[in-house]
Amino acid sequence: MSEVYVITSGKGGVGKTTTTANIGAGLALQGKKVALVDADIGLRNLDVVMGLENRIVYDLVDVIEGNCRLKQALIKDKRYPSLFLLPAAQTKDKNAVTTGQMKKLCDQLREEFDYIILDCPAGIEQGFKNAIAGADKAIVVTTPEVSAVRDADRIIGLVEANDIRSPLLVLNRVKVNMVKRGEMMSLEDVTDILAIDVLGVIPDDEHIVISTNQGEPAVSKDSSMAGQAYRDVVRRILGETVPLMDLEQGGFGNWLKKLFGPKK
Amino acid sequence: MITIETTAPNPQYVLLKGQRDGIAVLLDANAPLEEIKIVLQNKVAGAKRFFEGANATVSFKGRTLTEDEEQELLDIIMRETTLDVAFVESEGFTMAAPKTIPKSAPAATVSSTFAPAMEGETAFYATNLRAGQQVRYKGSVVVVGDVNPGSEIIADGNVIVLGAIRGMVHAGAIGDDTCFISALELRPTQLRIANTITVIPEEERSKDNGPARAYIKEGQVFVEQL
Repeated sequence: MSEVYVITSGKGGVGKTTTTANIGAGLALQGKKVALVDADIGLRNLDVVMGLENRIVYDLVDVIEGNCRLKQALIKDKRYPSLFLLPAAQTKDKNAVTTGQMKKLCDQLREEFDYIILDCPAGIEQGFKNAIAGADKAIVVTTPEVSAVRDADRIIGLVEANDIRSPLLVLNRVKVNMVKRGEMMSLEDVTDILAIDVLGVIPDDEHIVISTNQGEPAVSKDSSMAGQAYRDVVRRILGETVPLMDLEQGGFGNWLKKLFGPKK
Repeated sequence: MITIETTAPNPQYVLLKGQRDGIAVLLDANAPLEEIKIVLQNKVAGAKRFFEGANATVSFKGRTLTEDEEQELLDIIMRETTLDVAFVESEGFTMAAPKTIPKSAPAATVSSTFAPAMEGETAFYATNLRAGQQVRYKGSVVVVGDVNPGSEIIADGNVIVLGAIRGMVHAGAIGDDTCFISALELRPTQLRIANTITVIPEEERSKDNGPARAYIKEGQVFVEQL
């Protein structure tokens, strides 16, 4: 019983690809067989974030057009026991694929993998429709900005209209100090509008920039606060009840103290 | 894979009917959409003269269409004809059409000694309205849920929201200035009653003032806390 998740947001640049990479790597670290699919045809970058760009031979459009077998296009990530990537084509565009073909591809992947995670392109056009066509569940990523939340709201409406029930929210790039000063929307402000269940809150963390540039997902780095937040997200996906990270206590020092300090 | 058509689709799947202000397209409720498209294409191509005119209304009937399906059918008509479509009507556009109360239900008898503010048809929605979603109704609208920024309600009657209004709401859309808008939280981007448009001041909008009702008095919109 494999599950197909689509990671989507509407607005660009809020962290869909980073979230896809981290959830995928995190699930693989937990021993699950995971396929990451880059559905952003024409603007591929999941391979770059995963550090697998130089290993691409075939891509998603090659599989759909029958130029190669699915297995030939799947790139095995050597750092994780059971993580595979199906890269997007770079020289085609979103119209190279139909929703029917995408559904079929997802069903093929279901036979092999526990989790299939689709990195959805920004926007609500063909690329978005393709990405949600084969998915059972949706994870909506947003940042605490009015424009991103507005787009997330639209996306939730569209996802629900496509019979994907109860999408989950990942609130990305939360700056605790700004929230405290009342200069940034808090989790509560965001859920007030979006009214969906929260899968995770990811603090704004410089580690993410570094790890993204190095092609090494932060989820595998113990020192990264965002990495810890993504590990929590993964545990929630696997069905554990994990309380939201206490960002209010804030600061990396406090977090270390909690880890190593005396038990209360 | 190529599928070979063995039988032509039933021409009865699509019926075209002229109306006072345009054309009604009656669709079979159960036929596959692909076949309906083929029949529509054939019929429209064979009846080009039927489709001449300006500012016509095209209404799709007999079947609930999604926004995309409606657009596809409309594209076929626009491709084949010179019809200038001004308005499109269909059943259940984006939001499911409200169920109508069966005629056999006992008629409402008002036995109180004072008159109701308004009588008539009402559409009920038990869901949040999200950005990009729109409700257009010929009577009053009741939403049990929130009306989010970027969504719209346009009602010819009153609008009552058991939740927060953060989007755009228009009551009395055909010009009835006795209509009102009421919500548990009234913080719309814009409020319209009949022909009057108002904007709630930012400082009022940023705080929760509790349940409120907006109405028109002497040509101005008033908001009263409930």
